[in-house]
Amino acid sequence: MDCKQAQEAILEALDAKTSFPTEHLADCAHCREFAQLQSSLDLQLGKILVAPPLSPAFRASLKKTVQHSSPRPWPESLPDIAHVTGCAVATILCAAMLPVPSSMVILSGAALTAVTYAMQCVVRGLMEEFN
Amino acid sequence: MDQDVPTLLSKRRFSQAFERMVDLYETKVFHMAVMFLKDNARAEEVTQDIFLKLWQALPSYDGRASPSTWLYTIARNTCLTVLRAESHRKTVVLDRTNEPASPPKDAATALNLAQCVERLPEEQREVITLFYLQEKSVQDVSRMLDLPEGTVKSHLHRARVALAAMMKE
Repeated sequence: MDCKQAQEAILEALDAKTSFPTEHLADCAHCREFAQLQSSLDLQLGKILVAPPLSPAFRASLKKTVQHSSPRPWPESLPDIAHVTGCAVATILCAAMLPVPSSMVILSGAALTAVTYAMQCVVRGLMEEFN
Repeated sequence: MDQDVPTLLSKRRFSQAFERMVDLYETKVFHMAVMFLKDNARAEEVTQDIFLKLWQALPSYDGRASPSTWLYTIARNTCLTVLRAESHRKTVVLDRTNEPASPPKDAATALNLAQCVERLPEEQREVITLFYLQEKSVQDVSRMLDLPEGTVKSHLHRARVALAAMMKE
C-alpha cells in the first residue's frame, strides 16, 4: 500500500466509520499525521455541523395546514341538516300514524332531536380532538 | 424502513401513509432544508411546504421510485425553488447552542472551520454539510442530492482534503 492508497483508505474509513489501515501507518509518519489531522477534522465537523431539532409545534402546525388544504366533498353543515331533517320526517310520520295525540308526538320528537343533536356535537368534538 | 408505506399507498390509505412518512422523514427533510437554506426558521417553514406537497401528491404516487427517493426529490426541488426566489443567501452559522462550553481557542477554531466550510466549492459544501447533518450516511446524502454514492464520496474526500489545507493556513 502506498501513501495515496493509504490516505484514500483513511478517508473511506471516516465515511464508513471504520478503523484506519494500521499496516502502512505504522511505517509512515506523513500518513500518520494525515490520519490524525483528518480524525481531528472529523470530530470538529461533527460538533459544528449540527442542526437543531424541529420545534415541538411543528407537527400540530403541519396537521392544521394539511387539514385546511383538504377540501371536504360536502358542506360542513350537511351532517347537521341531515340529522334535523331525518328527525323531523320521523316525527311527522309518527304523528300521522300513531294513535297518540300529535302534540305529544311532536313534543317528544323535538326533545329527542335536541338530545341526539347534542350527543352528535359531543362525539364530533371528541373525534376532532382525537384526530 | 419505508416498506409499509407503498402497501398503505396501494390500499389508498393516504392518511396513514402520510403519517408514517412524517414519522420517518421529518427530521431528515428538515436537515436537508437547513443545509440548503442556512436558516433554521425558514427551513422549518419550507419543511412544512414540502410535506404539504407530499400530501397533495400522494394519490398520484406510481411506485416507480421508493417513497423516500420521491420525497427527497420533492424536498430538493422545493428548496432549490425557494433559493432561486430569494435574492440573497443568509449566512447563518448552524446551531451553536449544542456546542459544549470550551476555552476561547476551541471556539475560534470552530468558527474558523465553519468559515472554511463556507469557502468550499458548492457541491463539496453541500455534500459535507449534509453528510454530518444526516449522521454520516453516504446513502442518505446520495438519495437526497440524487448523486451516485461514488460521487458523494469523491466530493467528501475532496472537501476533507481542502478543509485540512485551509485549516493549516
